[in-house]
Amino acid sequence: MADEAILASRLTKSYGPVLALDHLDLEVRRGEIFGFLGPNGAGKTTAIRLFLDLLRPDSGQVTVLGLDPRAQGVELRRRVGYLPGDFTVDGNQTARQLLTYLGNLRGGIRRDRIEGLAERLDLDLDQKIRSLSKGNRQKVGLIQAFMHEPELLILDEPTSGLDPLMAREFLTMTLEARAHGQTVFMSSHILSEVQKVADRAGIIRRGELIAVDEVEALRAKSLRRVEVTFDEPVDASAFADVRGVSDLVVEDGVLRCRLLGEADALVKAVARYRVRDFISEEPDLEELFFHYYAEGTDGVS
Amino acid sequence: MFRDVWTKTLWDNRRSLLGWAVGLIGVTLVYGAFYPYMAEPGYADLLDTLPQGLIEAMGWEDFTSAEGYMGAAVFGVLGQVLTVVMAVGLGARMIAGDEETGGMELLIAHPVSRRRVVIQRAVSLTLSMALAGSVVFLAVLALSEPIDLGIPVGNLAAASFQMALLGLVFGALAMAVGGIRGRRGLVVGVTAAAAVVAYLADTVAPMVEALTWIEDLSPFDWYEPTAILRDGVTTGDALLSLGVVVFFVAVAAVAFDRRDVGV
Repeated sequence: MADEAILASRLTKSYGPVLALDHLDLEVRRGEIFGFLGPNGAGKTTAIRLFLDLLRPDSGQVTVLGLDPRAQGVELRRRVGYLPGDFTVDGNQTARQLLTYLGNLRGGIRRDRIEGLAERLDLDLDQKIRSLSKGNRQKVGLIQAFMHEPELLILDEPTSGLDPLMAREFLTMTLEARAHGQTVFMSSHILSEVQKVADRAGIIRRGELIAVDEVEALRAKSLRRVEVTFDEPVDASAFADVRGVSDLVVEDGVLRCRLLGEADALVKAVARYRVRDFISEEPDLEELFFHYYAEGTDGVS
Repeated sequence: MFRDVWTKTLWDNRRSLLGWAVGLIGVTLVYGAFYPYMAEPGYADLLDTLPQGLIEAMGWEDFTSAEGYMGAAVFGVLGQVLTVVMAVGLGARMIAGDEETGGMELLIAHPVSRRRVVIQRAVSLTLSMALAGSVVFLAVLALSEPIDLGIPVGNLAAASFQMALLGLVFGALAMAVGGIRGRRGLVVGVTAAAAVVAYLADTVAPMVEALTWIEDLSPFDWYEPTAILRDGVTTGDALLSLGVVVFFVAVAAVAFDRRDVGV
């Protein structure tokens, strides 16, 4: 059994002249929750669809659960639960009819399993899919991905359309899946949610993977917003050269900036004045993402 | 509930199938009910005034006999057009239509192979056309006695079967084009154009001496309703049509298996 849930090497895919994925190297370990981050159009969905043999790569290799998507696709897909980025189905059937049918394609799913998931996500299984809201349709998509307890969950923008309460319930489901030894691979551009559950995250930009790291490590490298309120007038020039500081603005005795990495130099510079308040926001992947993204596009950090 | 792709596909198309069945029954009953009037002498005189070419093109050579009338009316142009349009609509939906609306992506992300999906969908299409042929047959059968048709039941069944088979050829072509490119509009356009060309090849080309050979290539030529109603199933034509259906489905399966889906 392969150690990696997904192992991609120099995976390349273009649509005509448009290069969607550019030599992607990716390793997703078994039993982890992996966040696949990037803006719309970065190539996330293309990569995911290559994993499932919906698309064929121009070059490069990928194995999923140690299997070749092209040659062993049926076996692979039996062991994977997939939520498409755009979950659309014939609306002229109830959620129960659809889920039972999809379960039958997998050899049958216990009825109480489907009902249990529907209850958790607060979904009425007996409504026609066409009458469901976008969020409720997304729940149908999540149930079909989770219901057969697959070894690997590949979820493309899973929280899209879900209200915050349901998004939290979904994140709990991913944690439980990990506790059962399942692997979760989820793409998102809503980074704060990946941050809450993911062990590691990769950031993709224009078809290239530009960073992969532990979520904690990414956070340590990330930018944070800092706001300092002084009791006396201060001059911006006193902080302009402080290590890690960027986007510096000082007005009416309030300093606002972004801080990269360690806070020590800034704290010492600020300490020369009388400080009324010091707010350092929790760094998040949102900031980190824009940092990497900006670095990649114009070559400055 | 449904365990297989083909049963599910039939169920998903149930409204469309019901509509086509009602339409085919209605057309059959209305046209069939006119037969007794056609058998009256006045119409034969009227037909004599029309150009010979038009009469051949429309298949009206023998409009006043039961076989000639039914072969030109119920099993003729209108029945053929309805059957072919039904089959092309369904065939285009089997791959390309389902792909455009997003259903195909979800289906082939399940543990089914693409070839199996194509073959099961082809089974579903075949059964749909069998339904079309069956309702036409039953409607004609119901009329047979009241309008004093006098055509053997076996020959009515043969004509219904071969008309459905004609539709199936073009439905399978739609699947083949869909297997190559997943655009429903393109599939319908290409297949409809092929059907029109094939129809003209069967009707107009024979008028030109040098073009008569083209007729043999047209699926419409493999279906001669008046002859079938008179003498029963034309086995060679039916086998040829079936062979072409199998070929088109094979093309659909192989092409669909090779390409990207949903791009």
